[in-house]
Amino acid sequence: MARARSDLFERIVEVAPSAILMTDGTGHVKLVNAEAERLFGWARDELVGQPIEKLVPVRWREAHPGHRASFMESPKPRTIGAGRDLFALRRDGTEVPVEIGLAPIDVAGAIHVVATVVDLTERRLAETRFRVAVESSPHAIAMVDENGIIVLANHELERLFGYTRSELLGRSIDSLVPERLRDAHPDHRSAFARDPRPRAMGTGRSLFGVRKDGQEVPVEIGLAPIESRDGLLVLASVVDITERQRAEDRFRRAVESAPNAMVMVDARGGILLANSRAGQIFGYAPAELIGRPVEMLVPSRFREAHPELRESFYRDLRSRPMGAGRDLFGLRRDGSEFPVEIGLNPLETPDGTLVLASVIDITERKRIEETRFLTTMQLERTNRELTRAKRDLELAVARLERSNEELDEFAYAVSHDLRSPLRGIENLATWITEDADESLTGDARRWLDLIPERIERMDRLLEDLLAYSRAVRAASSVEETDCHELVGDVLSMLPIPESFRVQVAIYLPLVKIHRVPLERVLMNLVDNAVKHHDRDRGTIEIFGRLVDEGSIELEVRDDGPGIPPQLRERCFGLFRSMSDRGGTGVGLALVKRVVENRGGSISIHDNQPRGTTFRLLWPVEP
Amino acid sequence: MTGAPQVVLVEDDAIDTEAVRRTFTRRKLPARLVRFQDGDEALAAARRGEFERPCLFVIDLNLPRMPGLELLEALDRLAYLGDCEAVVLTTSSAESDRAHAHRLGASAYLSKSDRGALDRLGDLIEDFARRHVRTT
Repeated sequence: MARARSDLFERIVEVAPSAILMTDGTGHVKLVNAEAERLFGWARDELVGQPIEKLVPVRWREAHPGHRASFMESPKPRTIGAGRDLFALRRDGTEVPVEIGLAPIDVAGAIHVVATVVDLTERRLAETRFRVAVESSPHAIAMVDENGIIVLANHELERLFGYTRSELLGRSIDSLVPERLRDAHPDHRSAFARDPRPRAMGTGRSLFGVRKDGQEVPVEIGLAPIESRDGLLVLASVVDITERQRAEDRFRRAVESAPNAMVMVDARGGILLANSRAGQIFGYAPAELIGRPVEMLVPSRFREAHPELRESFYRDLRSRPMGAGRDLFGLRRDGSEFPVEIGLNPLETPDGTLVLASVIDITERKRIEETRFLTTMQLERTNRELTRAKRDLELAVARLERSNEELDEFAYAVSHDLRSPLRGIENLATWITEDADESLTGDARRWLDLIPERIERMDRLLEDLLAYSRAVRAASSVEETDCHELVGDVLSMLPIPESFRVQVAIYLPLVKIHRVPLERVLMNLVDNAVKHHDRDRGTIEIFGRLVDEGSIELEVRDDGPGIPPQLRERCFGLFRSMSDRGGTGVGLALVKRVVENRGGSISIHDNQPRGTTFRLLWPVEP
Repeated sequence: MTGAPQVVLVEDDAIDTEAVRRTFTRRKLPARLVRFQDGDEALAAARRGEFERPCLFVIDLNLPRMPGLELLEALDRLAYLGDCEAVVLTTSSAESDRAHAHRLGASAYLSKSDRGALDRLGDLIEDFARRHVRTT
């Protein structure tokens, strides 16, 4: 029976997938299975009866009997080689990494030892590959055991925390957590152990590591559980986000200092960032906007369509103004709306594509545009009215000019054409007088005798009228004129009685003026002064001075009867002779016409102590 | 036969005609006056060679049917104005008429509205008569 059980045992050992050997109390090999033959390269009979040291590398061979002895002293199952490198020597002299389980076994009253040898070559290779992968990772990586002890650290971790690898290995991961957070860390570790799955540490919270020099570093940490024979290991990948945070800070500061309102929105329409200006125009504190949907800033009537519009922006990501062509409005906290202009900019970030919206409150601009529009309308209307008024005026002036011309032509035609019938009447009257001779009665002769005088009068009227109508038709040229000389010429051409004294005081340089019409005007004025004087003796003064570059002033003063103020305007009218002294009443009308035609003016004033002053402003040509 | 030279007056206005006649009478001008009422009539007579040569034409410009200037032109074409003389006596004072008349050979241009026009015409006739006293 025992025999049969022993056979069965041997067969089981023979087919076991691990290499199994049995030694006796002196360390001599008693049993070898097939796998052991394969692992060590020896044939079974080459090993049986040999001391087990045959399979121990030479460097450890001497110490080995001591190890055996100490096992035998207290023979309990155990594993050797765990945690340190253990090698077995093969027949060909090569070594193979192994893990060995030892168990005492009683064979017929004698203690034997069964050694189960596991070839670690594959596992070691995998481990090495894992270490190399970890080592070459650009991220800092730590592997931590169940107790939080660092069992693996790569170069990046050394660099990040400022410890050497030997300082890191065996150290508690908790020591890399800032002191203020350190106490809570074991709990976090336990929590992870209870639900071990890959995830980011501390979602949403800012994480910090503490360096050997005490300095804190902002980090992001990814956690992954690794089940091992040694229990749950945790692989922690640590990323130094100092640079990223600095860039983010710079970005935040840039956004904050932008002159426009800026709102950063994520793909779901949540507000991630808003600057003070944005808070200001919408009536919120910037912090109140963070995390809220951007639709809160959109008037309710546009709100429903907004998410779809946001999505369409994502479908065609490029910087562009929002709602081209449409009027956009923002909604303030108090419910009021204001016109806005919005620029949209896609922003690629580690957190996905975000949209940075730049919002401009265009209330003021709209107001100005409106004002400008109204002002422009007003201006245009005024312009139209002005244009119309101008056209009316031009028409009126043209009509006036035409009617003036017609009047001139009429006056000319009348004065001219009336003369020949008048001549005829004169002839007829003369002939009647001649032919009737003595046969006329007294009255008939008297009436007939009155005709020539009337004809004479009419002749003068026609002549003056002709002169009046010709006055402004006459061409005139500008001449450099010595006005003293001009006055002298005028006086020499007029029949001035000896009893009249004429005083001339001209304080004028040579001036460029229309000389001929001025001569005519002065002649009329001086002639009038003489003709209408009420006394036998009289004094006439002619005075001249320069008013400015543009005109000269000439005065003709007499000491005659004077003209009452109320008649002064009237006396410039046609046929308004003030006396019966032979004038037709055309003279002053002609004077005024000529003066005004040349751009001058004439007025009547009192002379002291008696008489009239005609003050004439006559333009100087450039 | 000795005789006063001929003055041909072409004038439609009766008063003006009478005025010229009276000038003749008053000044006892040494000339014989022949009067036509319009240009056509005068031109027909000229064609028939009814006028003595040389004679003095006194022509009004404003005539019925044929205006005075046309008559002047026609007379010039008929070669009357080589030895005859022509004077214009008119109400027109238009400068263009005056210039035109002179171009067509008129030796004087008198305006009826001028008081002295008839005296001046008298002088011209007197002068013409003195130069052309007929001695045959």
